Amino acid sequence: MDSERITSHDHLVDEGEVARWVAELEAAPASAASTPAPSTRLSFDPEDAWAIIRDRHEIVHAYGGAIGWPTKDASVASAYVGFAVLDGELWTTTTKGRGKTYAMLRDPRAVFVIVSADRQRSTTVYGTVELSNEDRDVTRFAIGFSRYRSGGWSEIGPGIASFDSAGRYAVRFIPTRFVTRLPA
Amino acid sequence: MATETRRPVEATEEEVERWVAQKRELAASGEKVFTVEDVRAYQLDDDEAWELITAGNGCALCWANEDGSPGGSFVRHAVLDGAAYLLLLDGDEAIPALRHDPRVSVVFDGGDGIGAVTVRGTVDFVDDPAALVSVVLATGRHDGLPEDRVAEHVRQSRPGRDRVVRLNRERWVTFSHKKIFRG
Repeated sequence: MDSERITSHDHLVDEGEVARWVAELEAAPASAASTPAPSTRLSFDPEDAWAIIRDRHEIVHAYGGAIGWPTKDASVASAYVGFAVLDGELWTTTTKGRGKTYAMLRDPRAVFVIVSADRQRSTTVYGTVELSNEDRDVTRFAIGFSRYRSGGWSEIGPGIASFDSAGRYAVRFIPTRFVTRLPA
Repeated sequence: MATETRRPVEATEEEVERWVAQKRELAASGEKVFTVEDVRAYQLDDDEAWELITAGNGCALCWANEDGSPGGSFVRHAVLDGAAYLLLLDGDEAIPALRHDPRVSVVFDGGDGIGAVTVRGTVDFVDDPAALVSVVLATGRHDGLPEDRVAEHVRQSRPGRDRVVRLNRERWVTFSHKKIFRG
């Protein structure tokens, strides 16, 4: 039997408890000595970012991240996408006819957010994208991604066939800046 | 780290050539191939979407910078009183950017093999210490932390510096990996 669906965190928080905590925090002296240490630290070292990306890719066989791009109305859109690291470069994919594709062809600026498997570390990769619909690039991505998804070396044929279809682009992400959040 | 399990996924030149040739043959044959091009066929219903959002340990928040470039970061969230609240830490680039332009796109990733929900909308800053405390309590307990660690997290929170924003959904796009890959 299916367990009951949990669709909120309301049961984890008690109003009276919140009020007590607010009173305690407001009563704390506002001196520098009492300022709590942040729970995370930022790193701008590309190696910290690549460590998250590669570990997620090669060990955990997890394959997704969020990519964000600018929209025509100067806002932002994003999507969950699969990615693969090929020849030390970050690649993802899109297909013809999607808003994401038109937007990326119009303005190549993009951001990629990737989280470690244990969710304790995350990295934001800023950069630009280059779209390619060359057979070689699309197929290379499809093979890498399918291996990634399957977590092994066999049965990758269906995965390749399902992604390596007409209208698909391989998207090379060219990083310009990395911001990585690590536990303090 | 179990480096012995590390598996690079590079494709060899020969493999690429072989698959390109097979693809061309398949295209020429006219045989229909299962593809994942139209994700609208793999949507979650509203309850499934909220369940995925609630089950998550964080989300990817994207915003627009003043120069039109996209910004993004992974942030913690809690679902309280029917809305998602996101926790922005002191110094996060999102805080000044969202003060300037509250439009956002947020990806809630249910984990590989589950699915994802992308919310387009805006955020409102909730400058109430009770909101900050509530989100910190909810995220700590959702993570299964012992109560002393949860309390430590609350004490580490910095009202007036760490921020909570309420996510106002205008629309969302959902998909289920299970539905896509079951074929």
